[in-house]
Amino acid sequence: MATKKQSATKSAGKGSTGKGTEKDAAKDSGKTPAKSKSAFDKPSAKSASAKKDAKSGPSRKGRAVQVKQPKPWGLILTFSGVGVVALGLIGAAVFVVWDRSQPPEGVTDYYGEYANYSEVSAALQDGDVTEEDLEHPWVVQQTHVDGDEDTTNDTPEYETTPPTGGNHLGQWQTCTGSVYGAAIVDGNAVHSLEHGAVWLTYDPALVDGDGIAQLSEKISGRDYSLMSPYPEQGIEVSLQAWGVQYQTDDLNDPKIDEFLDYYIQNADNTAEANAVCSGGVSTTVEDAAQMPTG
Amino acid sequence: MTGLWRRPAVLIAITAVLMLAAGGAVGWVAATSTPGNDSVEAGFARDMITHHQQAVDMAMYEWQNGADETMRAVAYDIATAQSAEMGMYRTWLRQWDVQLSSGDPMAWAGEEHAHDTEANGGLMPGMATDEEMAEFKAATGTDVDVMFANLMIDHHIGGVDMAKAALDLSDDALVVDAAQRTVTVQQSEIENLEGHRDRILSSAEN
Repeated sequence: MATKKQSATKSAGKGSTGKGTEKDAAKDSGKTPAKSKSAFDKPSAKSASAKKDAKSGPSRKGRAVQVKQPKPWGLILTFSGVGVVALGLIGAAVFVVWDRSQPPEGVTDYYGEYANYSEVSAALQDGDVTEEDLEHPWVVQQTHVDGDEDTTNDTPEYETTPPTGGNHLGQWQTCTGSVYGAAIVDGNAVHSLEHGAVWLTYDPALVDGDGIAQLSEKISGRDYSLMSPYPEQGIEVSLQAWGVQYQTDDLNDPKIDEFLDYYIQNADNTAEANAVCSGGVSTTVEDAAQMPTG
Repeated sequence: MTGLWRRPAVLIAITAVLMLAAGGAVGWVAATSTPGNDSVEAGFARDMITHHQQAVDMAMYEWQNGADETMRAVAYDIATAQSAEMGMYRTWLRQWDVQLSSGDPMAWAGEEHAHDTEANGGLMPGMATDEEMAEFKAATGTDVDVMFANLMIDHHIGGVDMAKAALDLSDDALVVDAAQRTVTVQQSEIENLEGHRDRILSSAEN
């Protein structure tokens, strides 16, 4: 475009130097309409500087057109790129935070339509639901079964095996990363769950010494956790926190660690927040065969 | 004029101004949403520390001197859990940059509560008097267990009252969550204290 225009101006300039004839014009007319050319020529015919003006005039005009026409793609791309990266980072951060707040998959929870202990206890307080209407009322039952004159009802019965919450004994099982070599009393262990501990149980008929050592490594020294054999639970490993349970026949199941990481002192599943794991009972059923705990 | 929008300098300047404004808004909201010194939230946290302090005192005495193993365990639970909560309340107050104590107990809970507390010699709902504490600390044997249960039941009833007042007056997520837990835990502890007390009393009779 620009070159054609320029050549047109050139030939026009040539014609305007005075030597131009009708002949020239006639010659040129084949390319350009003569009329428009002569009309263009007239003002610039005066001098060389006018000719220069005429020459640069259209090209300056051309530049103005160029600025208006194409969008600043470079800038648009840069800013969109920055925007996309920023949104991506925000999205990733939101996902990580959300993901961390999600319980591990495959966990059985007994809160029914409620997500966790906090939700169900808030609903009870607000009068949105009554204890009797809950699918598993024991998730909000926290009475000491040994706290009455009747001593015949001091062995609570539990719906799940091993138990996952409910009424319990007045004393908790010490759960400061405690590994017990023999079975412990359910009512004491459930009290530990109330304090926010995770209780790992294994079936001694299914897990051998190496397996037990592998599991103790996870519990030993980890506050708010405890571990004990649970004869006839029928599955290698079972993990309990208040109102939730996860069972597996694979000692290497990564969910074991996930469960411990997520549920130990979980803010929404601890039925008695701020309570401790020290100072409880640290005997097993074998030690206590002759004297009742609790 | 429209060409102005396409200049990088202008775009960057506009982006910078918007980001500054957004940052300022977030900062302003964060700063002003912290409970102030005279707020219900700060008053509740301060008074719960004082209230809990007496419960820890009672429970530590029961833990050392009680005769009943299970009542002593309940006392251990109360002493440790309420100490942990006191730490939580102190952390709130420090983070809110407000006073840790105040000469106006229960003022946050309204006139009526404040008057009752004043009439009680500054004792908040459910708190034992100096005479009661002295009597408790002079007791021996199962009397310690029974007195502990009775004092702690009253103390918890008062604590539940305070938590309910906070629930009525505050929307702060931290305070609502803590107050709700206090109501749940202390109500179930009242039941357990009554149960163990009755068991101790009935076995003492036999």
